[in-house]
Amino acid sequence: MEKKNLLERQKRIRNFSIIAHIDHGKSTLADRILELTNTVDPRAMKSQVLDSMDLERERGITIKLNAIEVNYRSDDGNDYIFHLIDTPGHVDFTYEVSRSLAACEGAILIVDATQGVQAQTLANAYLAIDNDLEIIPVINKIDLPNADPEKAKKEIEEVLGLDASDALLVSAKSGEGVKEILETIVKKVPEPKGDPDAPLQALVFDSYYDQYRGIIPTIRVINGTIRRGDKIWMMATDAHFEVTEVGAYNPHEVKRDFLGPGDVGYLAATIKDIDKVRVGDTITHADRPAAMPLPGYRRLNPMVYCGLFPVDNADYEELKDALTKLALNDSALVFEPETSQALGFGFRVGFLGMLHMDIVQERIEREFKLNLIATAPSVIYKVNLTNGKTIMVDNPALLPEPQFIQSIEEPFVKTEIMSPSEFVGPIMEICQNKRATFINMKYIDPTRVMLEYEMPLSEIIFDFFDRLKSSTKGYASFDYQFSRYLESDLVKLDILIHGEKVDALSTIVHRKSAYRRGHAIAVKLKKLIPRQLFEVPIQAAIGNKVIARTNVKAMGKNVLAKCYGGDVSRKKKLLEKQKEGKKRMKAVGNVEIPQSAFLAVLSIDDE
Amino acid sequence: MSEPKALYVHIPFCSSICTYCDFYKLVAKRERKEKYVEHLVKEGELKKESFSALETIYIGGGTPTALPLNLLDYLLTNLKRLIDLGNIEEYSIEANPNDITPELALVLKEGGVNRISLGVQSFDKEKLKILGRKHSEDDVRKALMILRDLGFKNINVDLIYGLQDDSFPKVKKDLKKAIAMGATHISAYSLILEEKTILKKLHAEGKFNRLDDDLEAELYKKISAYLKRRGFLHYEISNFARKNFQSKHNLTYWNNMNYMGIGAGASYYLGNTRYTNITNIDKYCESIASGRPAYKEVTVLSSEDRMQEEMILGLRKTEGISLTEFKAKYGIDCFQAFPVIRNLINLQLLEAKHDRLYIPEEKLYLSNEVLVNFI
Repeated sequence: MEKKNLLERQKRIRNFSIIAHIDHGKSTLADRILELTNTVDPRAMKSQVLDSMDLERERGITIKLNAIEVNYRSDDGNDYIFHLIDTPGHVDFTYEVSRSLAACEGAILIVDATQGVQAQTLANAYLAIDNDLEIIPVINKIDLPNADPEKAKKEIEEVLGLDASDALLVSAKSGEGVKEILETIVKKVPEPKGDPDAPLQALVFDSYYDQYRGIIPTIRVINGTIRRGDKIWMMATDAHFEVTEVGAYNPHEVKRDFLGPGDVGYLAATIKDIDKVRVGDTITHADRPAAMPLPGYRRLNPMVYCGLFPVDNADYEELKDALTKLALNDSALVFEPETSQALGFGFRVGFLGMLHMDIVQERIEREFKLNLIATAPSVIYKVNLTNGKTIMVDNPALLPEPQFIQSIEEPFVKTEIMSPSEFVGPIMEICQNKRATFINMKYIDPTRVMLEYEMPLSEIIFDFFDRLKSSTKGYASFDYQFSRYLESDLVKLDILIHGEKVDALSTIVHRKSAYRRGHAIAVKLKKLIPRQLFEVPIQAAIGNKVIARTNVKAMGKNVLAKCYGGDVSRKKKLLEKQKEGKKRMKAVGNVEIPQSAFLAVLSIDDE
Repeated sequence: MSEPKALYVHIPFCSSICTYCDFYKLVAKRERKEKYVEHLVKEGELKKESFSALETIYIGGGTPTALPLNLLDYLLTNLKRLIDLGNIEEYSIEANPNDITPELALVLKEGGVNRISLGVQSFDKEKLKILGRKHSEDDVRKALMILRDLGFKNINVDLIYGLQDDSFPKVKKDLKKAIAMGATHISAYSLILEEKTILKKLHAEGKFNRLDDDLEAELYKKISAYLKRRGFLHYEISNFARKNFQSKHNLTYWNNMNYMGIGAGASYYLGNTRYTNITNIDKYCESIASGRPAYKEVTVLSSEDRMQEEMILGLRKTEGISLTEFKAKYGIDCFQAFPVIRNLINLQLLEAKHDRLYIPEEKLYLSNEVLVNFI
């Protein structure tokens, strides 16, 4: 292609994301765009094409990034190439959102006309603003009887500080207003800058593993042009490869001759080593490298850690393999080997938040068919030792003995809670119970309020969200970001089962709530641990001091009274079922403990 | 293949349906019963070659005594024709107490039956009502008198415990009465709430409850202790007998030996193969009428399966299994076939003494916890 034509083509590229609070209609809008542009045959259309994982469709959320190329003939008579880069809506995936946004020039900001601006609308909008994107406000679900577009507009202006006078009114469900969005993208989203002849700079913003072609990075080209046969250099990992294929997604892979500035697509280069592809890295040509890598993005550090162990110790290698594969396109997922006296060999795994943790666990169980035991999640504590050193502890079992500890600091977060004003009372009560410090309260309008608190992250992972939802009838939304480390009066709460300390059940708790929580955990465990052949005492202890105790009584009866002739096959089935149940248990000493018990510390009602 | 020593004959009819029973049974009209017994005898004819080594016969159900007298007579007469009763040591039939009349007892006597298993379940009025049994304590007393007068000496009484209001004093009354009336064998079963039974439904609706597992375990131990004091041997999980009155037929099952069976839904075990007959009566008859075997399921057991079953069944007996017999039968040492036995012995869930491996009596009520290790 002539340079002139290349530049002409580049002028017609528009790269954008859709950002929204969960359930505000992002994936539905994406579906409509694909339909309207004939990218996907409406008859072949699965609901929510972008959400390709089963898990995503089931939960109605988008977890992984997807980038789809869409061809659109505008009313101005020109053909445009859109790259629609999907983003997750949930608070845990802020990092992934920022990855997507780095590959865009514009963002469609969806606000639900019935719900207005929510906590994640706010968080995502700020990310887009930080990334200098052109933001197109869209008010969705205007077909619903309780839609209030004017109120939503007002909130966009007052809460987000964006001009909403041109906000588009849309029903992604019926398709009303979607065409106007496409026209607005053409007009408002800037064309990609970049010189096709400059040294190559392509940003890796995702990657996945293909059985035949190795690791496939998803890239956004900023400068230069990449072709099949090119020798490339990954600037951060210092690896060299030869490109065997480049292409785009429509939404399936389509091979291309080249990818130039503004293009979003993939490349294959027979990359076998997972470590060589790092999301955020810059790809350049080996023989004519760029002078500077692109600004990568800040690697987000995990905020929550938990232990993951295979129920069957023989599955250790498979678990390792599963985590390695998941981490490939989930750079926020980190893990290292962990050994527990109770659970054997497993991994200490870091996550961005609770949903992230849930999803990773569920994917491992589903996609890799592994039976897992997850221990209660923990934040990372900063422990100041008496010898003047400071260590980071993400595993309660590894907290040093009290005599070596000068003080413990824990991470605090700033939370923004948005809710109808009638629930302010209950929210304040929850926050108080969660050791939160009130910062600010702001009325968005007479019926809606935004509350700001600073609170320990550990209190958030300990059923904060469930409680917030249940006491506000599901109306409250919240978001949080790390603020700082602060000293707290913390102690390690150990659980002893049948006299043995079960390391995987240790937690770090505030001294004031230790008794209450110790008691609650012991009672909960009593319910979860099936009766054994002998009586099993369960104790909660701080150091050597037992603060709560219960007993699991010895087993009652377990016998089949009658069994004759042909009955034996029936009897065998019964025993097989019983054995199946035992498989999901972990033997700690002589006591069989079900998977659920290891999370018991999380879901107790400790009020 | 040695010929089976036991024959089971199934009668899938009842005069009424008990609330706890999930066996296949019908309250049927006379013609249907006639047709069934006719085909049952025909199946006997088809299999008579394998009756040569029989030592025990067991007619069970359902309720065999739900058959009209002449049909029962017809069945017994024909079995007598097909089997040399001279070799039969134990010939049992299950009976409802209120079905026993002098006429019926005479038919049984003449048919060669020498052991009666009475479905008493309890003597308590309320309990009988809950269980859906139609007889009274008086009916049982009369039945046992009739049987005794005709010289029946081997009488089993079935009892059920484990309803929510059961206590040892209450169950003891039942045991006492059964013994006083001359029972030589007592099967004391704990109630199981089976799927698709009336009790299960009532339980789901909150209208019926079982006894708590702990209390039941206590009750079990007390029943065993009481019967032993009264001279009974606790020889299987739920079975107690006066000396030499153990059920030989049932021991055939628990010793994992071959047995023959005829009738709808009956199973039989020959060589290493288990067969199960069609349950549906009409289809069963159809199959027999055409001269085909009436089985719907054939399972060939591997030697592992058989060893498993040997343990699952054998450990039901208080005397457990014989280690030398095990080795003779399977060509492998029992401990070698199941290394888990060592752990179970350490946990005191098994004992090995004088060539026998068994669950100690005080752990019998946990036997599933032991048996699951052999699966």
